[in-house]
Amino acid sequence: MILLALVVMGAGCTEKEEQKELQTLTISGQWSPNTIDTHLSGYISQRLGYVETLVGVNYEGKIIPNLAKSWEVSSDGKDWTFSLRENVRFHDGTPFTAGTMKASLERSFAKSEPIFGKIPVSSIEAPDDLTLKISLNSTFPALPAYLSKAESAALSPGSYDEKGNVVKPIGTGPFVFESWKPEEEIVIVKNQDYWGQTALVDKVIYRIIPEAVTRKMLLDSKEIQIAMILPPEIAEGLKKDGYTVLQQPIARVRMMGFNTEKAPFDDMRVRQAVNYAIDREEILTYVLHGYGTTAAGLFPQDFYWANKEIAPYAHDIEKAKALLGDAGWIDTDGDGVLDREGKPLKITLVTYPERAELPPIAEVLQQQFKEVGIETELKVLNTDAANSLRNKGEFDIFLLGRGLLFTPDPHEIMMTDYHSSGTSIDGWGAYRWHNDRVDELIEQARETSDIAVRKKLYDEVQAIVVEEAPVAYLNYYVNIDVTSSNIQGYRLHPTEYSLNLESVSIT
Amino acid sequence: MTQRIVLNRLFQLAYVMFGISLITFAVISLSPGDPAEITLRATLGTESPPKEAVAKLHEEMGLDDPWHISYLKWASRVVHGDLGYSYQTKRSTMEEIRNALPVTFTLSVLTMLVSASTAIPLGIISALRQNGPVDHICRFASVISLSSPDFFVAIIFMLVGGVYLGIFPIAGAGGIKYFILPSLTLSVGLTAITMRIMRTSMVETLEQDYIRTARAKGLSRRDVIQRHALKNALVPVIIYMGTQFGWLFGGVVVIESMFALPGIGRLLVNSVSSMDIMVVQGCMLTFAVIIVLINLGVDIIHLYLDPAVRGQGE
Repeated sequence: MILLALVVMGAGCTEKEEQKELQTLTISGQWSPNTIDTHLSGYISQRLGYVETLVGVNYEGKIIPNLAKSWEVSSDGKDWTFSLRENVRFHDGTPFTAGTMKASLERSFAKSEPIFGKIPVSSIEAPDDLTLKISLNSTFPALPAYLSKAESAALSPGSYDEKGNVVKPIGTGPFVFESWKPEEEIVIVKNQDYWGQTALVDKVIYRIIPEAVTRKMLLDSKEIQIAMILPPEIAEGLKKDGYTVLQQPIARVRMMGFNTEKAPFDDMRVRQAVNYAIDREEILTYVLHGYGTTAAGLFPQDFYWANKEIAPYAHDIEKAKALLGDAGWIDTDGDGVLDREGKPLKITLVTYPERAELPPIAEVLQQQFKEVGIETELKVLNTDAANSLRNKGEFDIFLLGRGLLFTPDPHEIMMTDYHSSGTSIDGWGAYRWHNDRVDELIEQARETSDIAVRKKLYDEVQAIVVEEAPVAYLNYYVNIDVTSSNIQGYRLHPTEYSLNLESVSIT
Repeated sequence: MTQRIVLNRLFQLAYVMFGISLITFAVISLSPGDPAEITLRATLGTESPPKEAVAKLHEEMGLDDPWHISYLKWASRVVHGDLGYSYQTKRSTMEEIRNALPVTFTLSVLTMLVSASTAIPLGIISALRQNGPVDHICRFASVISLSSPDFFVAIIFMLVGGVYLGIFPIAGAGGIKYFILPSLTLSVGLTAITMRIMRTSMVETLEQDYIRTARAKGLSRRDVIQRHALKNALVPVIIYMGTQFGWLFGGVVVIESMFALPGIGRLLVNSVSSMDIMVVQGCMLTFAVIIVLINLGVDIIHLYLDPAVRGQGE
């Protein structure tokens, strides 16, 4: 009897211990996937880590191997050969092979045509289980960058129903998809047989909470351990309460575009003068509560693609005034506003309130411009109305937040924002500005797949853009996430490629 | 009589649905920005979706038609029972609404219950003991609660119920316990007004001749209030609450978003901001149906409670 009782008790104990060891991490952000089909909208599944792509992105925003161990490109830049990682299995046990990747990729290209339609694919072939060949009709050096987009993730053939719709996304990642409730939560569990480092927690619940203040409350009530994307003022408060506040500049810059087609900003000296007139630190301190990094060039400094040699425009009112004087703008009537040929230097700054910090930044800029004798009228309109003013040229300065790496490759942004084919049409980048050397450099960079060579070309483009100043960079966006103090190993990714949850542990 | 009202209201429903869908359609179609671009901005998570993709979707959405033509196309689908689908989620509009409606419905019903069960007794007590302590406290409390915005009240409830006491979940959807804090929040403003209406209506009723007659007949004060006064005094309260019930459906946007409840208010806001026109239309039609039905319900209750209205019809 006693023995039996001991055995029963013992069994009870081990069961309890096992229960105790099951660690659940609960995190919360505002993003809500529209669909469970990774090939239609995949960024959340990629960040959570239940699907993986052929190539990955490191913490400098540079392309690295992932499901593909390595790749080679033919000398004409048209044939790409990817060697796949061996011994990788999907969560349902299906081996990951070139054949399954081909089928998955073909579905991706069809489903997410808006993203992948640009790639000049002629064929995808799987000559053996571990080799995937993608042939193109023309050179396309950004191909690996596109293949890091979540929508190109590898899904097992078992993910679909008879009609080919995703019923359960079965990937290869460190976590296994368990369940999804639209607008509520996604639950994932640890993948015991992961090819890389297995996760430290057993289960992760991602809760969709649209309001930042609610995420803060959930952190306070210990319902969650990580609150993603909080505004600086909330983060400041949490820091005092002993939470860990993480911040990371991401590939999104706050910048101004000048109307280079008409006076005064058709004159490079006036654009440079405005650059000197801006006190970037002041904007950061007073509008952004010190969260952010001032910008010198297009990309944040810790990005691989950033030209780290660029000297930032310092805040220098005298230099700004001198440049304006050279351009003929002098305060002749002593009213504090510069004038030329009897016309005062009055400009219009257009921006939009959907990004809440832009209007207050515009107000600070207005004050800063006043110090050098420029009178600024602010126009704050909704994004579409503001953009249509911009496209009609009815502005002098357009203040905006600009995402830089839709794919982790600079080609796209260079073409749309700085190459004359992009600046001459409607868009968001430099306005009606063109520079032959810049065009030539961007075109050269398109012809080669050698990363180092491309980096050098893009570095020169960035330097020219800062020098000629068709735009003025102010600062970069930062993501601010807050974790409770018992969370270790959480790290923010500069391109928001991954949440790195497999390294997170609860102590 | 009741039959006539029902028929009348159902007839009205058709008009309301037509009007509301036409206006919504026009407003959305005439607002600035290319819906195809806005849709892609939301789906791809970038402010400048590829131009080729925009052009393609533009065609698919039939945006080259003038808006009244697209409206007619949409309307003819609706008449055939097809409410279309969401450009964002690719789910059908019906499915989206079917998922969201029960959440908002539960929230509204709970809010009404909480308000009614606090406001009516408090209103009656205030009326019976005019300028007594309860009356004073209630008056003061209603001024405070009416001047506090929803999101502020929500934060207070989250702090108290979720963080300090730790007894209610702060946000999310699941069981009925997830609805407690949001319905308390919503009922604050509603209770304040309902209470005042109840009080005023009771005071007025008690001054009526028939009340004096009943008292003169020798009935106790308690009997008079229970048998005669209450039924009559409740009429304006029920009418007010009825209209508020309809309003709650559309007015819960802030609360649904604060408490992360996937209800119809949030669905509407999300679909308006991404110009998901078929879902917007679906939501608006649902609102129209609900509001007309609620008004019908209120009318029927009114008819039952107030013989004067019944008389008018005959």
